[in-house]
Amino acid sequence: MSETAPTPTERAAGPGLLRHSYPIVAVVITLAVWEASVRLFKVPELVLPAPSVVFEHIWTKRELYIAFSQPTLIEILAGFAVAAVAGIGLGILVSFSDLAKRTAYPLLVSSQMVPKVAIAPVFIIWFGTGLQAKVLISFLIAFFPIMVSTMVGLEAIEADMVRLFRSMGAGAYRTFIKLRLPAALPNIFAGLKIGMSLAVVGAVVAEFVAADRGLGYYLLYANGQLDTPGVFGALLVLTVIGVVLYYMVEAVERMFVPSALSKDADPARATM
Amino acid sequence: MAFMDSPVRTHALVTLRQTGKIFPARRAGAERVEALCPTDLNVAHGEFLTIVGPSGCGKSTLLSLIAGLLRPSSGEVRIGDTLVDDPYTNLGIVFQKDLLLPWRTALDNVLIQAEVRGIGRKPLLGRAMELLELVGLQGFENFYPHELSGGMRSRVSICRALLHDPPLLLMDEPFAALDAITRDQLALDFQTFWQRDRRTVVFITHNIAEAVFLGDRVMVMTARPGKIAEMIDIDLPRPRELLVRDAPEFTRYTGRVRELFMQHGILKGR
Repeated sequence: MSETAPTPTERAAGPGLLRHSYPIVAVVITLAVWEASVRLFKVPELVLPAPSVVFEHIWTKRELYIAFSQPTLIEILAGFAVAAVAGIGLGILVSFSDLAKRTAYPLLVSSQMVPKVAIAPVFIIWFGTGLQAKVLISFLIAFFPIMVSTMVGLEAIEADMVRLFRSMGAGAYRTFIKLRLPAALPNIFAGLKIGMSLAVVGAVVAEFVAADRGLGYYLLYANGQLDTPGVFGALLVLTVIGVVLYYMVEAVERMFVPSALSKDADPARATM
Repeated sequence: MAFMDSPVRTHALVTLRQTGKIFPARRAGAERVEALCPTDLNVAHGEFLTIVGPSGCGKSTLLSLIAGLLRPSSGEVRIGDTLVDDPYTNLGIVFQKDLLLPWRTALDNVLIQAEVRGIGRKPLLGRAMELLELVGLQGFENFYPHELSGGMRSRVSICRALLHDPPLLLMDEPFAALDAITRDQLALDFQTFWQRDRRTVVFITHNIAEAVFLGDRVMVMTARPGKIAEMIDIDLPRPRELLVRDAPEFTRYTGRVRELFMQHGILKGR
């Protein structure tokens, strides 16, 4: 054979351990620069507390943070779950049904043009200050990119590929299961990752509007008390929750999307 | 005649009778496009027919009509005794792009043919391995497409097209995306491969030498509207070696094809 191909081992070999430690190093450096700057320029705590102060604040109020993380986490996860099911479902529906594309899709697009932060109070009126309204707001903010990326993924199939499947005798169902859905998975997961980060935003927005607990509520409360370490403490915990959830989606992606497509799974290259 | 030597080639496998294709105007004011003039064609059992012509001469349209992926505007297509009016599934197709599924290994890409047909993987696993070995890919069964070279991917797509052992293989510029050297190698290897069972092949190319090298007959097509300019029987013994391309009888055939293209203004001689 005159052709050569790279062997998989060439690709896998590399400074793997070192590469995995890069993000940790980056975070540590950021915190160190932050700490040093605050001390060096004597920034007042009211404006910007040093990370050490924030961590200390979180530690002393750890019970409160743990208690308030729970409702927020539930809102995020419930909102994301509904958004994932509805987003993927609607994406499939719209890409399959011309009628849905002509009727439901414009409505869905319009629903995204309504400033969702502005309609949050309306949901509170309709659904009360309980979990329902918050999940709904979180869902509404998170679902759109999931739906759009599902659509994009399902439709980005080469025409010849579809012809090939037709010549194999594939009907719509087999073409969907064997071709469209697996081909769309990298896109769907890109949408899910964005959706997850937006679900966090949605839960915090909902708590801003009406809540008596949760990290969003505490953030607003601490802000009102001019308790800047509290604000940063809530922000930090929210960030950690968001990052962990994001990488959990990515971990699920790794189970479903084989390494052959790993370049699409790189969040930095996700286009949606 | 090139195919007198084989007694099975007595009747046609593929028959086109006044088969033509006209595409309607894309937008108001635009003209409808006659992609293929009403054409008569018989492809005999076990024949290797190559079709050569410039882009836009309707050769891909012709292939789609045979596969039932397009419906003719006039005339009819028959494969054996079957009138083709839906996608005809008892054939294999190889496209210019290898169209391998990137999330499947080479072996799984071959077996997609079985899965889509509802046959299941098990009955055809052995045949899939055998085909991959025949095209020189033993040891690469579990490689993903991005880990294979262009020529290797092309070989996998040929295996996929043949997994269900169809009597007819349609190839639409299968080697066109490859570099010239790999392309020659694949043409040579494919001839050897084909000679094992002499399956009926309709092979489209825009490469004159490739068409003459591979074909029992070369169908020369001209463009706008697409029609057959000439059928040329290639009377060269098989197996043909790559060096046959320099032999005078070979260059006489390629010269004839070029002459036809010049007559029809497709190639400007000077």
